[in-house]
Amino acid sequence: MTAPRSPDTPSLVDEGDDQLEPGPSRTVLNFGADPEVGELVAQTVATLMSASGDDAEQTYQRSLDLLRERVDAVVAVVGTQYHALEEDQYVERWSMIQLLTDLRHPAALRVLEDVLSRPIPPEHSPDPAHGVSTVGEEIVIRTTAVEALARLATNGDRTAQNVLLRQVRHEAFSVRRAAVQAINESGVSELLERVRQELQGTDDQRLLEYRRLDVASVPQADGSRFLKEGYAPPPEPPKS
Amino acid sequence: MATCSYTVPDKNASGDNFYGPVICNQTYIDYFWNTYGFAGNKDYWDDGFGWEEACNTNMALARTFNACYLLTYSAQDYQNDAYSGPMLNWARRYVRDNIDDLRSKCGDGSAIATAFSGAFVDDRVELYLGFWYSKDVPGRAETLVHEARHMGGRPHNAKFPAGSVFGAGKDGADSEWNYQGAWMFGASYLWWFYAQGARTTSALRERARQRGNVVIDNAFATHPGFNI
Repeated sequence: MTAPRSPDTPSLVDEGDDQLEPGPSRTVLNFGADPEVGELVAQTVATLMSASGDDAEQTYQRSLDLLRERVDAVVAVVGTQYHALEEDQYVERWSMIQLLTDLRHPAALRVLEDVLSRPIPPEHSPDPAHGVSTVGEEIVIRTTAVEALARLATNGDRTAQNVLLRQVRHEAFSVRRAAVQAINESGVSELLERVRQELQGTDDQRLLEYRRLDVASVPQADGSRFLKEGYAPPPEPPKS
Repeated sequence: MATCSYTVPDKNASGDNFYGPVICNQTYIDYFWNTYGFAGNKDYWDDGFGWEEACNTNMALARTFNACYLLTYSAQDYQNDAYSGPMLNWARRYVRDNIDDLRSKCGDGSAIATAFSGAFVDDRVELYLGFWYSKDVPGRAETLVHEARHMGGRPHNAKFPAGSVFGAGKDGADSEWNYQGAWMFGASYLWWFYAQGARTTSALRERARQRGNVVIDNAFATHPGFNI
């Protein structure tokens, strides 16, 4: 058994004491091109992401209604903002697409189609499995755009249906998977038949069998296995 | 010793503006510090990581506390943490049971977190820059769950499938959903959070869904055949 080490013993390991400093700030969301509409959009994004309380959802829906009254200008502002953001501003870019998704308006189609048609930049992370996969972040943006298309397609929008159908050939597996699932769930039999024909005999034919399920219906994680030895029950958290 | 710097992404989109005002409460700070492996690690969490400003959500500590809040309180009935119930309830307990030493470091720009365990190893989880400034709040909670699974002794056991965004053909995947590995735990948590998350926003739940699907589509050698 070794004796306890004195705190001033020379150490062969660089222990702790890293220093973290603020770096350069960057423009986050700037809707300067059309300040009035931009302000409306900015307020709605803030409500979407940060509003709390029982009436948060109602407040958000009211904000969306206001945006729909000026939808062409709003979509133009959101599209401009999306493209003005730096490539690595993934959460900001995603928030623009989520806003268009919730807008549920055909005017958003041209921005959504443009986002989905742009090639995914190459992976920037040196270790995407243990770090943040930049391709994964790009895919989150695009599958959110597919969700926006799905909502419009389900409501019978033919243009949205056609754009959705094109995503069945997208370069990214997750985008293809999301598109096939969306079409499967749309209830538009003509669209589904076209997908079936398109995927016939390809490796992606399996996507027709993939389903979105309720979390309670899939095999559950078992937390009682593989616990670290010697644990004690956690204290009760304070009341929320 | 390393010195690193950070740029703060939009805090509305990451969820930090939503959770930040809530965690700025000494009761929560005491609980998180003592429960999730921070205690005894002041030397890691000061020097710009936020120990001196525990409510400042530009800084690493408060951004970690935001994830701890989400982990602790996202189940409607959060006080029931039985392992027989939904993961949304017991994930906080699982993280607490498996991570008793949580440290902040700059990292080398590759990983966002690493779990260290085993014989002759100082068991610990280290968090790095990307954890705070590339991940949103649900994603940080997912990472804690993922690393807790490794601390519980479940390593990855397969190579990533063709086309995986995590590196096709490279080690680090789980063989399948039922392997009950770290990817399954992370995806399951995001799934429950999407489906039933309380005290959060619909946008963060939707983002959790999209991230969870990226994991399901890319982190298993054999796709489970279902999605969120």
